Amino acid sequence: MKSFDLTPEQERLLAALATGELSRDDAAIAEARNAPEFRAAMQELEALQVALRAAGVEERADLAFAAAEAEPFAGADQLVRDAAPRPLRSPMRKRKPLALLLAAVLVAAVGLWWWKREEPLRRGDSLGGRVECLAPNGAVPEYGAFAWRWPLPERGYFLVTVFESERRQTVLATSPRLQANEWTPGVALPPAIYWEVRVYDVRGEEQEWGAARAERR
Amino acid sequence: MDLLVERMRCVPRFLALRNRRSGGLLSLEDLRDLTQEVLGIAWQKLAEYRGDATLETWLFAISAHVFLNAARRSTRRKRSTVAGEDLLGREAVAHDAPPEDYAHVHACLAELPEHDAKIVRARAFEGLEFAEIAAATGHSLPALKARYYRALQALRGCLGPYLRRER
Repeated sequence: MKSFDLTPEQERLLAALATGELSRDDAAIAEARNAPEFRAAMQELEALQVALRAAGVEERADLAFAAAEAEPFAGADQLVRDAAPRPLRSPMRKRKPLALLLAAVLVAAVGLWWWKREEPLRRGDSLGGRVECLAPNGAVPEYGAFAWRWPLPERGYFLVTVFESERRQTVLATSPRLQANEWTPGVALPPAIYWEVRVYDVRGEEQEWGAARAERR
Repeated sequence: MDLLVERMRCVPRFLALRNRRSGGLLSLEDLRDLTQEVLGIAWQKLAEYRGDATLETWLFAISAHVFLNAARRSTRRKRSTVAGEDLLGREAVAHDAPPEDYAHVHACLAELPEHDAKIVRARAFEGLEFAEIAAATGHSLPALKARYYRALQALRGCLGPYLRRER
């Protein structure tokens, strides 16, 4: 950039000229133009103002032209469309597959738990089924004697098994072969149990069975 | 989004017009590349567009700037090619004539602080009086004039070579 070595007064005059407070015909400007530095700076300022006005005219013309002009070369408008960013995926949409996966896992887990939980109930009728488990059943103060209602087959027997839960993973107590419809376990039992009674005929074949849950409160 | 894309269709038109004015300095392939470059910049900087000017005016400034740089690169390339041909004794074709437009003015305006550029545009492009600009910008009249003059000085620094050539 070429800088002009102007005095403060010349700089003030140039600013006044630029902002229209003075014109090039004013006496102060005419006098200042006698200095070559000021004259050169003034000419450059005037050239700048002419260029700015011309650029403004050009811009208006180009804007009008662009609004009316057909596609300037083949594929121009396609380029514009292709340059547009793809619609941004919302955070919700980004998380959707993960949310679906989590939901599927949750449903599967609940289903599995329910199936495991319900499996003995489906197999036995004592919670409304054929071998009616009378006691203990549901919430009870003490477990007391285990009792059920089912006719004993001729020379058959009952077997009672007490588990920690419907999962039947831990056996807490097992009865001997019983001919009576009641039995009292000889061991201490936890606050919640699940128990089954199975009915066998003389050949040791299972005829029927039932189950119940009980909680000591 | 569709409306934005529609309004950005002015970009290849600006570039093609500018190229026509410069005597077809750039090839069609260059124009395609340049269109993509301008649109890339526009989408990238869209968040910075504050709506002081119309979107088309904003795109016009970017297009002018990018075209000017491309024209300079092209001119340099052709100059070196011409020099090479001279060594071989072939006929040289001059391509170093400046573009016959005001892309350089728009490019320098784009380098000013946005507020200063707005004042210069209001005065020089739109022909507004200083009192009108002061009312619109909230400046006092003396402060506005001082700011306008400083902006002109900055433009003079940026455009110096062009201004001296044009005199």
